Amino acid sequence: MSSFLRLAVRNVARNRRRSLITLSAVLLGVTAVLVARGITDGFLRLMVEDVVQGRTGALQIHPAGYLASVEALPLAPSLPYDEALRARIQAVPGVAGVTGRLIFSGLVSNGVSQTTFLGRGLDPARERQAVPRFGFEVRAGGRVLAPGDHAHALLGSELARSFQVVPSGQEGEGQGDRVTLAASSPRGRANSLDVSVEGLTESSLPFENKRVVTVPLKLAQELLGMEGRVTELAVAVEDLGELERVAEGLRAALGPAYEVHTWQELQPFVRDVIRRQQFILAVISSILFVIILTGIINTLLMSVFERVREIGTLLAVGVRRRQVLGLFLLEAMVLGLGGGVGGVGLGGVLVSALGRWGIAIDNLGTGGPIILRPEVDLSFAGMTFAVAVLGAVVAAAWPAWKASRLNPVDALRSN
Amino acid sequence: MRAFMLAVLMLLVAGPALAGEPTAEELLERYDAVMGPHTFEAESQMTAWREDGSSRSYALRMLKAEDDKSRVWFKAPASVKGQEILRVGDNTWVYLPNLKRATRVANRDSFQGGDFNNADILRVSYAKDYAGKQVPSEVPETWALELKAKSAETAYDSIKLWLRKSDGLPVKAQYFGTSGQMLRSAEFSDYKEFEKGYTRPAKVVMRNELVKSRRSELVVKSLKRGVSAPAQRFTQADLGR
Repeated sequence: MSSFLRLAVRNVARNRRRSLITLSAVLLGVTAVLVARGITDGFLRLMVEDVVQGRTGALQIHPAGYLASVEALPLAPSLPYDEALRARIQAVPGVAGVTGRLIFSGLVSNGVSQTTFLGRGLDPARERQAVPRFGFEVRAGGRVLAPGDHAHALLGSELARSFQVVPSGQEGEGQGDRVTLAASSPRGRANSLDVSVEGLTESSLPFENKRVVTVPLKLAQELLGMEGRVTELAVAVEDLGELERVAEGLRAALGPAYEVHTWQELQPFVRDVIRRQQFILAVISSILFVIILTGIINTLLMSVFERVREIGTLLAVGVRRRQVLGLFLLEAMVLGLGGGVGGVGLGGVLVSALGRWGIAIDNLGTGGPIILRPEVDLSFAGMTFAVAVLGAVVAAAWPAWKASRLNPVDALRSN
Repeated sequence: MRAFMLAVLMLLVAGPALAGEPTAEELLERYDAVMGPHTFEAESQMTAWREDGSSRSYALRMLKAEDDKSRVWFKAPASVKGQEILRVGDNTWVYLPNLKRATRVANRDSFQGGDFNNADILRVSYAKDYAGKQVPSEVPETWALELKAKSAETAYDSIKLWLRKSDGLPVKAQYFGTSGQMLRSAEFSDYKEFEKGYTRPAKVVMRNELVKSRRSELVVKSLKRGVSAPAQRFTQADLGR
């Protein structure tokens, strides 16, 4: 069998130019698939991190029925925000941290004009436990909310621009511009409070730039008359792979008065974007593989037609038909292996180089660039390699079978 | 000693009455009866000025029944003609004639998108909701009252009201949130006798004190009290009829 392998390698090496073209087709195809996957993975990771580590947290707990009417931002029923409930949540295995939030709507005004806003009351002392990247969206020049802040707020960048509000720290000394936040308690009591703008937030979701106002939890509670209450608890988990198990643990620990949701359920938009990206990647990969395999079929068919006399000779000197079949399959495998190894190598080098340099891309519609870091997924690289080799062998099946079926007498006589 | 206390108490209670001065409570009850009849039907015109100087004017018919039920029919301009609003407690539906369908809308406290609060027009019950206290008035010929919410259910934390000494009708009002900030202020004018023995201000201008350039004006053209408002008129099925 090893002599057949040597023969196959020599046959591949015989028509060097054609084999090189086929090899490079396989190689470039594998490289392209790996790089596309690397960039997609990097992009998706950015989105997931943006959501999980900067926005929702991995899991969220709400009063039962909250998500069904989330559009109305109901303030009642609400959750208590105390040591007892936090301890019950922390006790669930896999939970890394928990923080409380008050999500509400109201009107923000600067004395001249007024518009609706979506308020996020965050606990500056605990927010980082649940979303480690808390504050990442604060634009340079502003500051993150800190424990002890009260009448302070961060405004979405577009909202601030339409109000011509300048945050503190951007006009030299002194306090930032002030805006008035007005909202109603769950029972309809109107209230309003003045806050100074400490910074601007920049999100990848355009809606948030136009509508979101971030304030300390205590201020939101005072504005809404909801002391000691929150509308959601954000939970971080130790391992994202264990997400569903931790969610189950929380459901069991908290009972039916609470509902527990994963970030995928909370951000269906992001989940759908991820699914779409993966679908597009699958389509691109399949197209590339079809092109590669067509190239291999072509190469092997040509070599079968060229070597009809040679095949006739082989058969005439007693080589078995299945051995001829095997010889051609081996040649295809050599091409597939060569191209696969080269492609995985080149793709791996390219992706890790891109990962090290990072690709600056414009953040969706908001201006500020973000750094995308492609990454190599080893199992996907292995799968691509296997598909390249197997694909080459399968593609060679028909030309190889054709060669093995030749009649030795006709083959010898042909020109 | 007890007799003395009793005498003082008697004097405190009877004092204002003796002087012909109504108590804060009496004034509030009168305000409620005038400004918030239990059932009424009214034709009015509402104009809202926005911060950019533009204004929109609507002609509407309002029907108010007991138990916080109300209906509004828009009659002009053409763009909103045929639209209806149904409120039952905290639930609000909007009926759009083009769709022939009622849509439930989020319960915003603003009345028809203007600067009125629903509590200002449709749910006036100050005597029940607020504890009134008379304070010195700087406006001549008026009584000034400070109203403090009795519970957390009310729309405002406190209200300051100026009432005419001659007939107890309102002249102006200021509305405050829990933080003590003034949210709105109102001016009442064009006192008109709508029914025999029933006079009320026909025009109310409500200013948004957070955005000074915003104000809304409600002019009541006609008003009938004690109309029949059967319960079936306050159902979704009745919208569009």
